[in-house]
Amino acid sequence: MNTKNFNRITLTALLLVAVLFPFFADFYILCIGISVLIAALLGQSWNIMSGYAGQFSFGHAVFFGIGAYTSTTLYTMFGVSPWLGMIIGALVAALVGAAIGFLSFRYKLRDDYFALATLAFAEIFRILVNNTSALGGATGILIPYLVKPSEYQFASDKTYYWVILALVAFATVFIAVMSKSKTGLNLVAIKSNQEAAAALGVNVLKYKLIAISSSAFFAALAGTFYAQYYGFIDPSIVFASSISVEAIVPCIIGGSGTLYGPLLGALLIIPLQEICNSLFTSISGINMIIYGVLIVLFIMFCPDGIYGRMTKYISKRKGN
Amino acid sequence: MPLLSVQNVCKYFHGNKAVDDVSLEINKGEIVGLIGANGAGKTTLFNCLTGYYKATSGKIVYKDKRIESLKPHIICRMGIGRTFQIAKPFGDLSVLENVAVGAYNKCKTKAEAYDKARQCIIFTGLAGKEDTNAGTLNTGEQRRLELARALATDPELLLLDEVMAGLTPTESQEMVELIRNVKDQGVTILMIEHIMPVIMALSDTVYVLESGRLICKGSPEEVSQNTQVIESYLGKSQEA
Ligand SMILES: Nc1ncnc2c1ncn2[C@@H]1O[C@H](COP(=O)(O)OP(=O)(O)O)[C@@H](O)[C@H]1O
Ligand SMILES: [Mg+2]
Repeated sequence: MNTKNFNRITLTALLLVAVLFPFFADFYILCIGISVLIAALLGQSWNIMSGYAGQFSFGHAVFFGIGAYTSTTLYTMFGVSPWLGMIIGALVAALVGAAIGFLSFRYKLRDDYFALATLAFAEIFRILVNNTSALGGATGILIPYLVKPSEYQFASDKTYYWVILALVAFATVFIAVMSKSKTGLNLVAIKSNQEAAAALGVNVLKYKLIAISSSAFFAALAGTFYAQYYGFIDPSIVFASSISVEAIVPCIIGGSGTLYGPLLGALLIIPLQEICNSLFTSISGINMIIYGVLIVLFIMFCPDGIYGRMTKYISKRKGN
Repeated sequence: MPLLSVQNVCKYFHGNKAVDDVSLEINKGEIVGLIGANGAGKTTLFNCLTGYYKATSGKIVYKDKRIESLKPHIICRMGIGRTFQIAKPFGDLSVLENVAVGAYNKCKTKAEAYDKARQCIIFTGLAGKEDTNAGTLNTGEQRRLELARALATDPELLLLDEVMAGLTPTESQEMVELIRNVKDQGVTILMIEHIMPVIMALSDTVYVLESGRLICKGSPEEVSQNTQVIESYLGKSQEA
């Protein structure tokens, strides 16, 4: 049996486990499963622009929030189905991403400065929405619960689980195809050295904008899902820096710039967070402390992440 | 009509005249050498020619078009390729993928681009390294990769910035052969080089840069006998 077949079988088996998971999970475990998948989708989104293209974002909440707010206001104010709203929100986020990218890259913000700029944009959006009464202001928006699948509302959490699983699968397939394409090569080349990429005819600005827009698109999908699943959003939730962190951590832990790294990262980090929260109920924000420590440890000792380290190890052994 | 014509180009960095009123011409099919001590402004001139720096003043005309305000990737599309003094491999990509990035400059489809990339890899003597991670190549291989990538963009004019740097004598001999083969393919070359025998062996015309100014132009023989050049450059490098 060759490696390709082995990989295909493993993948199919894992996918089957993921699909059938709700039948074996109780309500609490299923909720954790959904949280894992939200983190995985955010992680894959971050993976595109930061993992592959190397443009570090510290403000992914801006795209998540735009997704959540676009579909939710379209639904509560105009009766647009959140399914359609999700797509519109993702497109709006992609546009906003392109605008943020254009402003930042145009003025040659790089690395840390770019990361800070994304953080600033997330804060600006949070404050803007907070002060816009038409968008519910600081009170937020409650989504009327009608249990209509055509309006992205389901009676059972199992269905929510499958919806977010499908979105994660979509993002993963997108990355798999992209990473082998011209676009994928150009993004990784830009991450390595953008001067060298430009010397080979790569339009660096254009590909950075492609990266940030497609990344924003997927983060917004996660935002709409979040809104529909929890039925309530406010600026301090969906534009929170904790959302931005939740996009970063699965990638760093699992392996940024790898196809499955963020999935593995989300699968490890969310249950860990759950365990810590139940162990230290008195300490609020314990998850943030743990995230902080983990990020520092991983960046120092395992910068490739777990999946990245694994694949490097395997290819090394094959090479020898 | 020359392929590339540089007219009175200056590049100042806060009063430091890195390139000072340089004019030169490159004709199709030539190998032109550019020599000068460290800090003479050679790389800065390359960066002006390829759109990384905007020249403070002067004109750069390539195939009848002014290019001094164009972006690097546009200049590459127009047919000017370059390598860097410090090799810049894309460490997360394989050798084949590295070269494919360059090949996509002209190739429309993936199949075409990878075909072109494979040809350039064979041409530069990297056959067998296609799937190797580019970050793990040794210096000699990295230099070949730089060249393979630039060639994959299908340039008419190729700018080489110290491609011999860090090579063993055997490797530089091979590189000299390789550059001859590139010329035989019809590519015009402007090369920065420190090693005099290499310049002597390859160039049709040599320009000498000192503190940003061109001090001499001629055939390799003429230049190597010019007293000013011997004093300011050859003498110095022999001391070092
Ligand atoms: N980006 C820059 N900013 C300021 N000074 C620079 C820059 N690039 C080059 N220089 C200066 O220009 C001069 C020429 O450098 P360079 O072109 O690299 O020389 P060479 O390639 O001939 O060794 C040096 O004095 C160098 O310090
Ligand atoms: Mg130099």
